[in-house]
Amino acid sequence: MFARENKLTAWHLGVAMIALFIGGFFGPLQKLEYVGVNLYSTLNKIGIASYYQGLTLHAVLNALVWTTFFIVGFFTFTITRSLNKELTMPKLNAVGLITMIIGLIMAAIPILMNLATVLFTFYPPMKANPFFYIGLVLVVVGSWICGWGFYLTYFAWRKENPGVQTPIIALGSLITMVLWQIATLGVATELLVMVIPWSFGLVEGIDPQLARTFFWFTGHPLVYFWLLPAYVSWYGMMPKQAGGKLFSEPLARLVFWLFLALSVPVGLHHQYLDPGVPAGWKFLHGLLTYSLFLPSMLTAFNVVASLEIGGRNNGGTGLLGWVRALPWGDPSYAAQNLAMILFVFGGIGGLTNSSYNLNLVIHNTSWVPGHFHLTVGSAVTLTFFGILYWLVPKLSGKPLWNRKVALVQAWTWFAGMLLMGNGLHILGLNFGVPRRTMVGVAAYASDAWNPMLIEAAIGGIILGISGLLFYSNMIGTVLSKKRLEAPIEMPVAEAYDEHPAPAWLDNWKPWLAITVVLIVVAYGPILFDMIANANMTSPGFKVW
Amino acid sequence: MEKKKYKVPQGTVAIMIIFILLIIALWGSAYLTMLSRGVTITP
Amino acid sequence: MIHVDRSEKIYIIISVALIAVFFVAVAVSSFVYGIQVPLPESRVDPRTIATPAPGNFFGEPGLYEVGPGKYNAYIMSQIWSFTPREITVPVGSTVTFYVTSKDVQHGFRINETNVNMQIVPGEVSKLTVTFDEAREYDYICHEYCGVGHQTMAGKIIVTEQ
Repeated sequence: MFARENKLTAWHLGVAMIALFIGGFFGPLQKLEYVGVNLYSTLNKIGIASYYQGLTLHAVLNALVWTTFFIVGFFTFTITRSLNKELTMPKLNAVGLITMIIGLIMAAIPILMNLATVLFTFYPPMKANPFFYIGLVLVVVGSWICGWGFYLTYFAWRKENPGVQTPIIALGSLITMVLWQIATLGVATELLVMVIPWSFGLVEGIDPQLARTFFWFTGHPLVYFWLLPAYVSWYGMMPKQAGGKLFSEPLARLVFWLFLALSVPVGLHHQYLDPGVPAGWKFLHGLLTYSLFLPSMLTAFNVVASLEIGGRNNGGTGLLGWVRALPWGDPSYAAQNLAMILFVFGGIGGLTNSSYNLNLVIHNTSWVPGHFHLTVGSAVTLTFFGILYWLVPKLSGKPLWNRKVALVQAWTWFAGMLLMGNGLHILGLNFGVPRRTMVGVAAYASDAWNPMLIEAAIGGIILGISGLLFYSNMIGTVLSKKRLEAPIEMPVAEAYDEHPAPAWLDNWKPWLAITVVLIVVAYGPILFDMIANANMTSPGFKVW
Repeated sequence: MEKKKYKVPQGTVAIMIIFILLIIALWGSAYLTMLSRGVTITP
Repeated sequence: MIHVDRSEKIYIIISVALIAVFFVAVAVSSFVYGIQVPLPESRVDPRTIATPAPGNFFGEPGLYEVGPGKYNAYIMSQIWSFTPREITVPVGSTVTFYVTSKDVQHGFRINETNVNMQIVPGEVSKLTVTFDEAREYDYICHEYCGVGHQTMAGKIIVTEQ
C-alpha cells in the first residue's frame, strides 16, 4: 500500500531539496557582499551576471520552489496516511507533478540566462522573458492539479466514512491546499490577464499599481501556505514525538479554519505605502490582519501546552523543568522546537509589519528580509528539515545517516538565523538600510551600519555551513547501504481533551462561505474601482 | 493515563506571560521609534 | 461549543485586549496625531510626465517655496537616479515631497524620518516632513530597480537659519 504515494512524495521532496541547494548557495554570498567581500566577479565565469541575478535565483528557488514542491509532496504523504486511503487518481497527481517540473524548468532557463532578473516579486513594468511568467503559472497550475487529486481522495474517503471526523492532519493539509487554490487566483490573474500578454507585446501598457494589488492578493496568504504545513506537524505530529498529546484538538481545528477565512482579505497590508490605495481600504485590511493575531496566539498556547504534557510525561517537573525533559536528542524534534522559538520573533515582527503606519519605519528595509528569514526561513524551513529527518528515512527505508550531524545542523541553523535576523532587523529599524540592495557598494552606506552588517554576515556564513550539514545528511542517508531495523510510521498525536470537536469544525460549507464573503467585502469594491480606472500606460523595461 | 495529573498547564502559562511581555516590549519599541520621527501630513 | 481550558480562556482575553490596545494606538497615531501613510494624491502618465509643460512641476523637478518655511519638493525618479540629487532648506522648514517615476517602480525614503513611500509609475506619492535639525539627510531608493539600484540616492542639506 502507498507505493505510488511514496514515489510521488519522494519526487516532490527531491526537486524541493535540489532547488533549496541552488537557491541557498547564494544566501551567504549576499551577506558577504554586505561586508565588502564581493564574490560575484568570480561567479561571472559560471554565468551569473550580477548580485541581482543571484538574488532572483535565491528568492524564486527558496521561497517559491522549495516551499511549493515540499508542501505538495508532504501533503501527498500526510493526506493519504492520515485518511489511510490511497490516492483515488494517482495519475492526476503525477500529471500535477510533471506540470510543476515543466514549469520550473521553463522559468529557470530565462533566470539562468539573465533574461528574468526581476526578483520573485517581478513588479511590472520591469519586463522579463515571457517564459519566466509562463513557467511560474505552470508551477502553480501543477500544484492546483495535485490539490484536485487530494480533494477527490478526500471526497471518496468521506463517502466511505460518513459521520467520521476528518483526522486533524488530513484536515489541516486539505485546508492549506484550498487556501492556496483561492489565494493564487490573484497572481494567476496578474500573470495571465496582464503580464503575459504585455510581455509578448500584445498590449502596449500595463498598470503597475493594479498588478501589485493582484500580486499581494496572493502574496500574503502565500506565507500561510508556507506556515500551515509546519502547523500540521506542530499540532498533529510533534506532541507525539515529544511524548505528549495535543492539548486542545478542537482549537487546533478552529485555527486552520480561521487561517482559511482570514489569510486572503489582508493583502493590502503589504501596500500600506503604495500611493494608489485609499486609506479606508488599507485600514480595513489592517484590521483584518490584526484578527490573524488570534489564531497565531491560540497556536502558541496550544502547541506549548501539548509539549508540556510530553515533558511531564517524560518525568519533567517544576514550573519549567519539563522543558529539559523534552526529546532534545531527537534531531527531528529539536529542529522543530528551535523553529518555534525563532518564530516567536518572526511573529512579533509580523505584528509590527501589519501595524499600518509602523510601515513608515520598516517598509522595504532590511527588517523585512530579517523578518521572513525567521518565518519562512526558520519556522517553516527548519520545521521542514525536522520533518525530513524522519520522512526521508521512512521513504528510503534507510536510517538517518548521522543523528549528531543532524542535531548540530538544527542548532547552527538556529544560531545563524538568530544572528542574521537580529542584525537585519536592527539595520532596518534604526538605520533604514534598504532590502534587496548591494549594500556593500551603496554610495550612502554608513560606518554606523558595520557592526550589524558583520553580525548578519557571520549569521549568513553559519547558515551556509548548516546547509551543507543538512545536505551531507540527506545524501548520506539516500546513498547508505543500511536498512531500517523497524519501519518508521508517521507520528500522529492523540487528543488530550476527551471533549470531541463539535461538528461545525468538520464542515467546509460555512467556512468556505465566510472566506468568500470576506474576500468580496475586502477586495471587491477596491479591485472593481482599480480595474474600472486602470492606468494601462507603462511600457516594459529591461533594467539589468 | 496522565489524565488530570496537573489541571493547569502552569509552565505554558508562564511561557505565555513572557511571550506577551516580549510582544509589548518589541512592538512598543518600534512604535516609539515611529513616534520619535514626527508627523507626515501638513499640520 | 468548544471546551476551552480556564487558563487558556484568560490568555485569549488578554491577547484580544492587547491587540485592541495596539489597534487604538495605531489609529490614534495615524488619523489623529498625523503620522499617516501615503494616500492617493494624483495620477499621471509616466510616458509624458517628465516633459516640461505649463503646470507640470515634474517637468522641472525641484524645490518650490509655497509659504514662509513651507516648501513643495517635486522629485522625479528614473533608473538610477533622482532629479534633483540635492535639496537645500533652512532648519525648521516643512517640506512636502511629491515623487513619481517615469520608468519602473522605485522607493523613496528619507533616513531617520517617517518619510517612506513606494514609487509607482502612473501615481504620485506624497508625504510631509519638518526638518528640525541642521544636518544632512540621505534619501534613497529602496525598491529594486535594476543593476544600478544601489547607486540611486540624493541628499537633503538642512542649513542653519
